[in-house]
Amino acid sequence: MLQLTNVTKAYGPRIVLDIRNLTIPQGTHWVQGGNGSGKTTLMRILAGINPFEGSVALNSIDLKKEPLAYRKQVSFAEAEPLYPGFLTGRNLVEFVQKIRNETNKGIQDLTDHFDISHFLPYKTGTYSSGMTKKLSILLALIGQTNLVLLDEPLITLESSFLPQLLNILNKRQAKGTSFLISSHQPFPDSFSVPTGKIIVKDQSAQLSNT
Amino acid sequence: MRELLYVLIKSLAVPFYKRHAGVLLFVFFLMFGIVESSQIVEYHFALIGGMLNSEVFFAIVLAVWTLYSLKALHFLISTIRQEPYNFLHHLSVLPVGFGFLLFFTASAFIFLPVIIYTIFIYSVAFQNHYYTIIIFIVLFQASLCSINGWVLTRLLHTASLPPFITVPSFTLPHLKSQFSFYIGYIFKEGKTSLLLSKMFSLTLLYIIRETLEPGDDFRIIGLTWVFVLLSHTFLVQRLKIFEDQHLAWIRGFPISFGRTFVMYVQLYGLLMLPELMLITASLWRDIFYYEYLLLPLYSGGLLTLVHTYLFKPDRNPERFTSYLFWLFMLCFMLVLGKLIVLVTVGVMVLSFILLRKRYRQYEAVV
Repeated sequence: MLQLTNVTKAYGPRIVLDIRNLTIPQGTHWVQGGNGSGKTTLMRILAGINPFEGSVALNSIDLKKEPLAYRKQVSFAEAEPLYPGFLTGRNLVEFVQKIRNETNKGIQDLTDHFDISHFLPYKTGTYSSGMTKKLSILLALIGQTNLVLLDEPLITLESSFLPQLLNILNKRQAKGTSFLISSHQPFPDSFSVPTGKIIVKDQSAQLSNT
Repeated sequence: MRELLYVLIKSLAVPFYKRHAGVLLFVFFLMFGIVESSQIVEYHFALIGGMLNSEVFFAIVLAVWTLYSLKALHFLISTIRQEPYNFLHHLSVLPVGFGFLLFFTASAFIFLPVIIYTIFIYSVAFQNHYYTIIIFIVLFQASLCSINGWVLTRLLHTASLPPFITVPSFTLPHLKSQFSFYIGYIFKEGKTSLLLSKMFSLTLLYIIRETLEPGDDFRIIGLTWVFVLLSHTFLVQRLKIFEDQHLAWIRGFPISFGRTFVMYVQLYGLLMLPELMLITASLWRDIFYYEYLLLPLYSGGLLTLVHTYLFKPDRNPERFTSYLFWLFMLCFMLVLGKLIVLVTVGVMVLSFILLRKRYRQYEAVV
């Protein structure tokens, strides 16, 4: 269960997010909101990348009080990932594998499912935006984290890969992994029934059943 | 011509002085601040006399000017290649000769501190009838500005650099840790900055090492080391920009603060490996092993402290240079006062406390 209490985020005088109280139960949630509504900021706060006021706790582990334990539970794929161009995909996979204690078999399974083994030996500077996106989602799925945050995972990906991706997410969801997925697109029918929807609007965020 | 030159100086030369104000102020202090005002003229006469009478000293001065010119060229190239400076490409419609003249003048403007000091050199040389040296210095400085002018004009017209100016890059294998990402960046993208910093610091250390006598005070190396570290602060800034642009995602991973701190200290301590190797020859002759071991800690701590400053929230970039100036001035004075151990412990503790306070509160603005 993810608990946000008095979470505020401001850039100078401009308040971007002001969430008084939000409890997100385990499961998969679709984060929706217009351009500039604060979806990405919310995702980056939950990922532990952006600082904020207030408190965020996952399964009672507070992000500020236990930063390491919290981050062990959460992984994140950015909307527009940017990696050092001189690193290969393999370098990044091995880096995350080491931090998340993933087995070689786990990595092999993931790279097979993502069908990216052939471009992992190349430098990320040579990747297209779609390839970079695929790599970032793969990195977020390495290890057994409780919550996976995917910011706009469906953009720039080839449409033929979507069923495969949803299949992987379904399997992880069945094993108990929760997902927060932000997207402008409607929920794909092939994905298991989401637990709910989070609407980010007017600097706030709330659960919605519609 | 005047309007174009004004824009060039404002876009290229002024940012150069702003970026390097800390180093330039520090050099100015050493040239004019450490000698009593009553002796300052005699001091500079002696300095210039030594330069005119010793071939080795003269060669060193020429080498320092060349390094300064290369540093300026490197800065100008990287600035012109940035997106906000795309408007400068309008200059490529001008005749090549005219473009060259503009960049030559802009380069000469950056060279101004050297040119002003050279006027004193000319007057001493003239008094001593060293006319050939005067002509040589004029031609040498004009050549440096011409090379810069030519390289920049060519960059604007062909979007390429002459082969002799490009440093070959290489990718390190086994880049699997956060530490290796930084090292990889230095060797791949920061290689020119690294090369210039190393050329400066190794030349300086070599000269000092050669003049050391057995039994000389360790402070001589300690004070030189302050300059060695100062010449690497530009690299710290580049690493921070790289970190903000390409490694922000790492902050979301379960990496402890202690590990992050040790990584920075290791990185900056190891960066000084060539300098440490150079002075290994002085071990047991001029310096003791504990003093030698102090240097990587002192380096790691001080450069980490500079890196930590860049994590300051709502930081005013204009104040970075004055921060550098006062920080290095303080270190210089403390080392002079035989307090290098205190400096080492102090910068290590301070960088740890400040990094702990700022690291998680920082948000990269790209």
